[in-house]
Amino acid sequence: MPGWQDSGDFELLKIAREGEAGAFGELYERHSRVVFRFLYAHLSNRLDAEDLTEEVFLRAWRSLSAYNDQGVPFLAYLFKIARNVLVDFYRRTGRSGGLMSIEEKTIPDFRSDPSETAMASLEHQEVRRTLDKLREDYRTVLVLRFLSGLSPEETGEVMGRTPGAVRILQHRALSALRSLLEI
Amino acid sequence: MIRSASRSNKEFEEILSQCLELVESGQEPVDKVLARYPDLVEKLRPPLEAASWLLTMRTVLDPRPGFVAASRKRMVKHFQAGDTTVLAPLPSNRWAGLAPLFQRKMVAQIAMLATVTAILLLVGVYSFSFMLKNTIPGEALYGTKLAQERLTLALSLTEAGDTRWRIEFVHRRLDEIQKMIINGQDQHLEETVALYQQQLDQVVADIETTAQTNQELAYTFSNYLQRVISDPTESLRVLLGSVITKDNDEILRVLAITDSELDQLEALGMFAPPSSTATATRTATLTRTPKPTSTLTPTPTRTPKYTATATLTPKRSPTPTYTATPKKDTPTYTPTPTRTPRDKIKPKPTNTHRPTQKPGPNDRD
Repeated sequence: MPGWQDSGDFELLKIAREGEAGAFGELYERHSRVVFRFLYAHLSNRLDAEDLTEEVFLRAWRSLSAYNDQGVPFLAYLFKIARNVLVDFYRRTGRSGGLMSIEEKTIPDFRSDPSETAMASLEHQEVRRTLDKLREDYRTVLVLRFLSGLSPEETGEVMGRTPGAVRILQHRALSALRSLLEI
Repeated sequence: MIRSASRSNKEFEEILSQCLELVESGQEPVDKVLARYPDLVEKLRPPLEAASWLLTMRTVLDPRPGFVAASRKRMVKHFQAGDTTVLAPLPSNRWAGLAPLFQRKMVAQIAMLATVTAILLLVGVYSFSFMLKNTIPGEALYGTKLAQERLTLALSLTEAGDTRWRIEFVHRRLDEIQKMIINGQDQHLEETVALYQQQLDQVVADIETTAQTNQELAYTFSNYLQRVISDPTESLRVLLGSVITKDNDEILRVLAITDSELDQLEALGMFAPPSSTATATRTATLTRTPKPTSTLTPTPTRTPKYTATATLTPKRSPTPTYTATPKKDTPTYTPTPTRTPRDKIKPKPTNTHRPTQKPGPNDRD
């Protein structure tokens, strides 16, 4: 297997466009976590987040030739797809409430400690419930910036705003979030 | 001086951005960052604490161990299987087919919309524009109206031009909302209110960004915004109480959104001329919205829901909890070094009934 780890995103995309799935797999390895975090922050079910993460990359693979990397980083492109995937998911299923589903309770988890699994699930519900109380653009900017780790510039690409506007928005969003947290 | 207040506001934004970068990078904990700016501790603490809480929640949202590796293998195997529908790229949107002809999606959009507009000019642009301007959501030409607005923004050469046009579009949304309620055509009212909020929010963000480099222009925009939305919002207040109950909720929501955004501009000193030493407030053409009571406050038995389809489709509580919150003393946050932030900061209980907001010190009735 070629040393994909040493190649930048641009090079990997170029090779992937020629049909090299392994190169695209490296892109998946690099970016799937942040995409997963973004999706899981909006969903109640971990399995759904996993499915949708794969759906995002599947769509990205299918539209590789349409992706033009001039000015739009690949990560920002992925998040645009992720938002569309989320919209389609909501339309299909309706947005569910914040409670843990049956599937969430019974999926196998590789963590050895069951209490750790339960705690992680409860914390996820807390995050979701708290973020759900925010208005949409506040929620989006916080999820992209602090949970998925995008820069203000990348976040601006995804949200269609300037980096300056993103910084102002995130400041307001953080203040709104703080008012929802108890000491 | 207002100029000093505006400058220090800009400085504060820069300091906050730097502090967030430090917290985000993990270089320094929140308390050490706060120690750098003792005079700004009370203002910096809330957003930094919120950011810190979010950062500790990152690992909670991580995928299960082993998922990424297993999923990668599965996907690569699928792609390598040689499925032609996978290898043949599918357009992700309607513009992708034009991408080979035009290098940028925006050029394709502008070219197509410019062509449509040129044709419209041949068939009598004035009458068509008149019809377009008066069309409301749900009517056949409304999509074209929004497309024309997007084209206008795309053709605008400056950020100031963008802001000017966005203010105009906010005005149009208010007119549409008014007409929809009067005509009883309120099927798309919720979406239009959501779009209004989104566009007004963008305008306020534009003005705040402008204020960082050109306070006079920001002041001009703020007052222009206030002027153009003054009449429509007054008309909505007149309609309040004279229309059916479900539209009352949306009217109150529009007014609350408007007041909230104008309050933000006022708090930043955007309604005072940059050279003025007086502390000016915006002219009282907008009387304070009566505080919503039971119609907007969620009760345990009522869960009003509406969707905004402009972007994502969230279902959200009708009470914008970040707006009319009265000022309150933020308890001092004293960290205990042995405890992790996640243990200290928890979301407030969700089953607590939020009481009706009491008027705050800045409210005018």
